[in-house]
Amino acid sequence: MIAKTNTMTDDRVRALIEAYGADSSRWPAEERASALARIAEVDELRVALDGAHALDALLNAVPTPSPSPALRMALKDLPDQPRGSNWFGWLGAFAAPWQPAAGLVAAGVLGLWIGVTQPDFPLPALLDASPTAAEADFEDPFDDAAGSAIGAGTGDLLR
Amino acid sequence: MPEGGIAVGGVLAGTMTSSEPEDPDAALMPRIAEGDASAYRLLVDRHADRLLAFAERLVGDRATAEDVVQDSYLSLWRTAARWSPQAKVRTWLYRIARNAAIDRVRRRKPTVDPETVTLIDPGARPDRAVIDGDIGRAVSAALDALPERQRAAIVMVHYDGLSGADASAAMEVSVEALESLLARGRRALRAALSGQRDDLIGGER
Repeated sequence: MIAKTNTMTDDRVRALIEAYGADSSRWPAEERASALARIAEVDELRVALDGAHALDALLNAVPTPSPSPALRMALKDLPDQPRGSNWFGWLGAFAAPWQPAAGLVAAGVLGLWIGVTQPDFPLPALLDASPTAAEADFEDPFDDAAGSAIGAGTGDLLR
Repeated sequence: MPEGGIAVGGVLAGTMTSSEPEDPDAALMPRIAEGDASAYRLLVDRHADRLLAFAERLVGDRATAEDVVQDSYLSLWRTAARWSPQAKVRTWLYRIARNAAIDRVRRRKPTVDPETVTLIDPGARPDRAVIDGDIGRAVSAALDALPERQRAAIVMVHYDGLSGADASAAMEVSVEALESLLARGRRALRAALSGQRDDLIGGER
């Protein structure tokens, strides 16, 4: 703020009018009296005040939205609504724990169903491919190291 | 008191100074936090109508405004324990309602920029409404075309009578920033309505 009370400047009065309009009851209370006193002394500020009056009059021409007794009743009933009465809201409360688990279970059930009912289900070519000669001859030392940690050579498990 | 509702930020709404009269709603908030529905209903009686008018001016249609007010009171009921005695309850409600309005509009328009959002699609242009001879609609259309922050500032101060300090607290900006929003908004309104101003107000200038 530029100035207050006894040090009210013309710029600050203009700023008040531009921001709050012509009705001084909207101005900050601590600046009101000194701003009005300044306006009484300066013609240019009175012109600015008149211009703001015009815009205030236009704003006042907008009708006030009517109240809604039905909404008020609904708002008052709100505490009586059982918490979680909304089914989706209730589900949402458990969304975090059950969603990943449900996805995993669904994938498992689908795999089991395919395995049991569709033994000839075509698998991707990559899984079906025989190892090349180079791959067959290559012994990965990490297989045995990892396998030893669980009591068996992983190479044995994979072959 | 369950968690949830609308985020209202860290520091909660308009701070009160010792020179201001005591907030008549303040005593109700601890009771609401304890689940006292009668205290909550008193706040409905005191503020719901004004909050509905605020929301309707902000979002531009009645149905969405009613949703906004319901969101706001639901949030009040659920998060009353977060209210701080430094905040005026009315100011806090305005902040919640404005956030609820922005939230509702964002759900409709996911890529809204809060700096430029108008919340309302300004269907009728000011000049069209003037031709129709409807001053209120002309001004409404000009208001609707303002960015949301400017419009919220003008609605709070001009229509709802909030002080600069309370409106700035409700909007989580400084008083200086609020005054800037108000001045820019009023300037834009003057420009939008300048061609018709004399007709609209019978030559007053």
